Amino acid sequence: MHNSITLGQYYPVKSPLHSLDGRMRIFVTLIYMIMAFVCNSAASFLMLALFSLVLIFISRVPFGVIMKSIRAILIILLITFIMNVFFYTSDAEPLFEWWIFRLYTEGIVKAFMMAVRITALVAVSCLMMSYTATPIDITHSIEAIFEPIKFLREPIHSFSMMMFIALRFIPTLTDDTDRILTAQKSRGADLSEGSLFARIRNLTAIMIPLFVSSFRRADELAIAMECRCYHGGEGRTRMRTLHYRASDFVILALFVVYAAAVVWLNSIKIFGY
Amino acid sequence: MNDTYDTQNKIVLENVTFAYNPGTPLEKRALENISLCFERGKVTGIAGHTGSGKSTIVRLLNGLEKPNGGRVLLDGEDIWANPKKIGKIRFRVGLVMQYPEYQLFEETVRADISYGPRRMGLDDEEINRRVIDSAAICGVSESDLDRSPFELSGGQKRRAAIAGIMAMRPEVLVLDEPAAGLDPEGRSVIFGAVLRYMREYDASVIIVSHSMENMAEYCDNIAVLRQGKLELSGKKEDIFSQPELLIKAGLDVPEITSLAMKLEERGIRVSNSVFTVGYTADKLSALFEERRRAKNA
Repeated sequence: MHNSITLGQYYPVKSPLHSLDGRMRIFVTLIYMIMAFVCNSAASFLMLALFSLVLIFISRVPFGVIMKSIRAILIILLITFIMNVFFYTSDAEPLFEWWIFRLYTEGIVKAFMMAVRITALVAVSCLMMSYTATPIDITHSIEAIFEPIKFLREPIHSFSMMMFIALRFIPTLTDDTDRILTAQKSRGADLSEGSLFARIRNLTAIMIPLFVSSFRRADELAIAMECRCYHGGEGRTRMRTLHYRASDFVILALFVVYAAAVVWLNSIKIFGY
Repeated sequence: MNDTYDTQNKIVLENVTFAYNPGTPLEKRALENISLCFERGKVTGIAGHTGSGKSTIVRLLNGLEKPNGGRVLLDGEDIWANPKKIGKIRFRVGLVMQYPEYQLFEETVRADISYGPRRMGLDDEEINRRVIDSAAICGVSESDLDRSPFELSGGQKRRAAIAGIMAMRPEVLVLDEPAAGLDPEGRSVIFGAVLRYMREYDASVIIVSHSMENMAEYCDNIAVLRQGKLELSGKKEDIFSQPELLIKAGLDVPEITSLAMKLEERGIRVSNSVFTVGYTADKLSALFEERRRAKNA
């Protein structure tokens, strides 16, 4: 049995980052990301790392939980680090030379900076978009952000409704899969044994009922929505409307200060980096 | 229900304890120290409110879950004695899940009913014999056998799905809410088929339901679960003689039983145990007759 509520990795505690307005959340995350790419001096990278730690501290999400999302990209991190170290070329005197490999001090520093950048980006985007916000909040916010371009006749509402329904039905379909799997298992279906062909054949015993039940659910949902007079986004109100609050602007100010600090620190070099 | 080691008992739960996700923060205790015997050739009902652990019992009987403590005995042998052979147990203990019609997937009803027997490795002749036989028990007509299961009506689909389990000839047939969402006629057809299967193959039947109405009609023995613990178990007559306990377990007693309880409050005692309309009507008219005679005398 699985826990059907934990979709995404929402970490349920109270913090200023959890209560952040969805539109503001996307906006400040964008600032953060752009600034992570603007960083080019050691001092600004230090700022980036420090600010990321501050965010994690504010969010009250335990550090160990964040580390889990970093562990997932450890291999990518390692590969980029190695690539950056070995493929860096410069006219300066190499630090170390062997066969076709030439290592430069600057290359190692650059690779290290890149690693810090990727780690910070992954940690903070997970923090902002997943640990402190539910997928449904994000969907609503995206709709709200694109609201202004509705006059271009873009079906913003339909897209966000589709996204919302898809998210909503993931746990339901997981339950269905579980149920069908159990039923077929007790009729002797075995998905872990036999030749490849036999396994594919056995998989149809799961896939067909699953498709049938998704179509049935889609059909029922469509009828239920029509019964409630759903006719697209026009004139539709929300139960939970988005409001900016004072704390949202405090967070925004924090990000603006961070952005300014990065720009300023870029001009300060420590040991020439 | 009798002694654990009585040969009358087909399948036995012996001090079974079960928790989902044991040893993690998500641990959820589902069953605590349950001992239950299911007799050969009898229908046993397992009743309980939502979350009482009835579905967990179903999964344990069928070997889909392994108990954390205690044993599940089939013909006196622990079904988990050899975990590699648990697949064989699933053929001996047939499980009809809730809404079994959702498990249909083959191109024809015939192919779907024969899925289980084919997985058992039987030869074509035997499979064919079993398909025709189980279809007949469940009232699936010969002409429907070559149609697609998705063309059938809801009730027919469910009967076809149950026939698919019966074709494996399980010695124990476990049904989880077999009558959910059916009209009274569809319900009696399904229960009729189950009883016929039981008599023909000397099987044990276990019905899990929250509806005491069905239990009163078709079961011989009843076990009542409440929050993972066994609240009551015994012969149907004994269970219905204590309707207060059923209500305490969050179950709806049959209408006729609650009528009898109301009559008893007013000083009219129908009988020890009330659960069928016909019996109650006879008793009541006898009572009225008695009173009239007493008045006239």
